[in-house]
Amino acid sequence: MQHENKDWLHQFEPVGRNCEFGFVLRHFGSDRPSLFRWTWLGANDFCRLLEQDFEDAFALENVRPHIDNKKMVMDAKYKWYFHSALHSDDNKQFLLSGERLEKLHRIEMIKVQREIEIFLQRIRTEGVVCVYAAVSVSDEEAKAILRAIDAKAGGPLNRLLVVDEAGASGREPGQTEDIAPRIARGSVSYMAPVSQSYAADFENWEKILNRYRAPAPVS
Amino acid sequence: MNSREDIVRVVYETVATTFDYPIEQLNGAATASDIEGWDSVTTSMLFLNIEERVGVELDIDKLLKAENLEELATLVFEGVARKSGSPES
Repeated sequence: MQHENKDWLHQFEPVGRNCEFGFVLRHFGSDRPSLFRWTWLGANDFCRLLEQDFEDAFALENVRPHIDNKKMVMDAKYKWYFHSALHSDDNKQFLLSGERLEKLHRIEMIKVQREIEIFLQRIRTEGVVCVYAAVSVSDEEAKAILRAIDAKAGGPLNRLLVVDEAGASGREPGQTEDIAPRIARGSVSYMAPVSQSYAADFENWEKILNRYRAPAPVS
Repeated sequence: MNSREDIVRVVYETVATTFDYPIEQLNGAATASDIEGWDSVTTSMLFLNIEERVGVELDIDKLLKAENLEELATLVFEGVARKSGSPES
């Protein structure tokens, strides 16, 4: 089902681990770019990235071709995987080299820096629901993610929604529960494989996200 | 090649070749979502191709804010004018 009003989706901010939530947002009508939407990043590395204030993130000397996906790169410092225009070949070498590679990286870097600024502004001013989705995420990892977000936001302004796989959690698909102040968990029946992140369990994603829908104003 | 007309033509040609899109179907109101293959990732390749065609390094931060092809062409024109020292008109 496609929602008619897409504004409610603006409150959600993907923070990892993979692209599935990016496709979920697209399915429900939001194509707003955001820093972590089309990236892969583990919980510990997400925390490290924020704690180190994105230092040297996506610097050319740290960027490597992805080993399995010619249209992705890895920031070796943070183990942060991006969909990128820096495509590679069968030999794990960038298609461009020399000055052209540097020029394209400069453009990509400006985009990343712009998305970093937007992300920081959102968590510092808007009170968003950060969404972290992975097959299994421990409570400690979830709390660490929110602590890192709180530290960067300058206070307890945001919430965290962790979405995991029902089989791993023991929770029914579509159910949510609070596990700590400002942290909720929800389960979908399956997490899509990384190479097929577009094939999400949209029905149960919708049930989980609906928890955050504001009631329609009374006219 | 610094007239506004020239720059608009270069931008349209570059969009058409980058995304293999019929140039005659492009117009100033066209947005990335109108053109198959133009997304947040492929935008970088488009900007690189435009920079190489016009021969100057552009303000990418500004280009990213362009809402449609008309605005993109205007920003490229202004960027070229600024770099070449000619008055913007």
